[in-house]
Amino acid sequence: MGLARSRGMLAAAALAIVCALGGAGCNTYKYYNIHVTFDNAGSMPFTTASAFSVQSCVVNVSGADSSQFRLPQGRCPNMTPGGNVLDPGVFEFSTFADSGNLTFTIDAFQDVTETAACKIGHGTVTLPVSATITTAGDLKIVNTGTSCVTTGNTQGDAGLVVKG
Amino acid sequence: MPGIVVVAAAVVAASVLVSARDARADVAFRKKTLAANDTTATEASSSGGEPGGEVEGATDTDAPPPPAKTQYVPQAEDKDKPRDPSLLDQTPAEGQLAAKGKAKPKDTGPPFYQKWQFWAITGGVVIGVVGAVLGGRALWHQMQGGDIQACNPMTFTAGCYGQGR
Repeated sequence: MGLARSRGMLAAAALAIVCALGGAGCNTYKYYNIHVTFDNAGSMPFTTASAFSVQSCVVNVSGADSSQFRLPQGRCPNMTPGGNVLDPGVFEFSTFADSGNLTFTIDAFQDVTETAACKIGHGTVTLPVSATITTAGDLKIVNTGTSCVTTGNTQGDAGLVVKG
Repeated sequence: MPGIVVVAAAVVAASVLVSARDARADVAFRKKTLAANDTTATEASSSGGEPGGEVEGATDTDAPPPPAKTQYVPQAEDKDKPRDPSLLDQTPAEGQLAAKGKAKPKDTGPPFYQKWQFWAITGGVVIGVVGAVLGGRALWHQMQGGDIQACNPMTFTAGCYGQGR
């Protein structure tokens, strides 16, 4: 009994050491803090009005990890009182990936059904996966020029979907 | 006349001596033949040499042959390492006496659960098992990444996603 217990403790200690040294089979969280913004520069910059026409922002993660999620309502665009409409803010993505690259892709749609015809913005960023625990990145939503809604110059026009 | 008597006596004596020598020769020949035909003879048995010792006192040619040798020990047998199973299986009497002497007397003390050693071992085992379970769970949790950092809504205004969320 004593011998078996000693062997078990030795095995656990050895495993802990291996994990501490970053051996296979052990997971370590890596965090990616991605700052999402609407690109207000370039040939087709986002305006406050065009940003307000966005109904849904979908983020796809590919590469060393895969995931898909939507930014919360009222954050993309930023509808908080006194907030910057073109700055949805920062989201955090946690992963156990330990090598390779992580590619974050965001699509901004003018309808909640997220049809391709209503995709008004698109952005992508690729970050390496390394031993760094926290990595920061910027993800800009670039205006694609596509629009399925009529956008005006005022906030009141945002969200109106006129079809047919 | 006395000379003739003396000569006659000498002749008689000589003839007696010659007759006795012939008789010994006959006995020696028969003894040697008997030894050659004896199937119980061994290598250690004498098969030649001077027969004088055996025939020294033999005066009768019908003397009985020596008794056959019924008990003998082969010269190649090693008495120190017997191969006879009956000898090998036997435990020496000294060993049996020693085994009897080493037999522990029956324990007439208190029951085992009233001994402090029992409770010491039991407590150690319980503590060890509990520690191993808790340690194993902690180790497994660390292997799975440990505790994910909290999602601060003030910092991550767009939310937190991915593993552990």
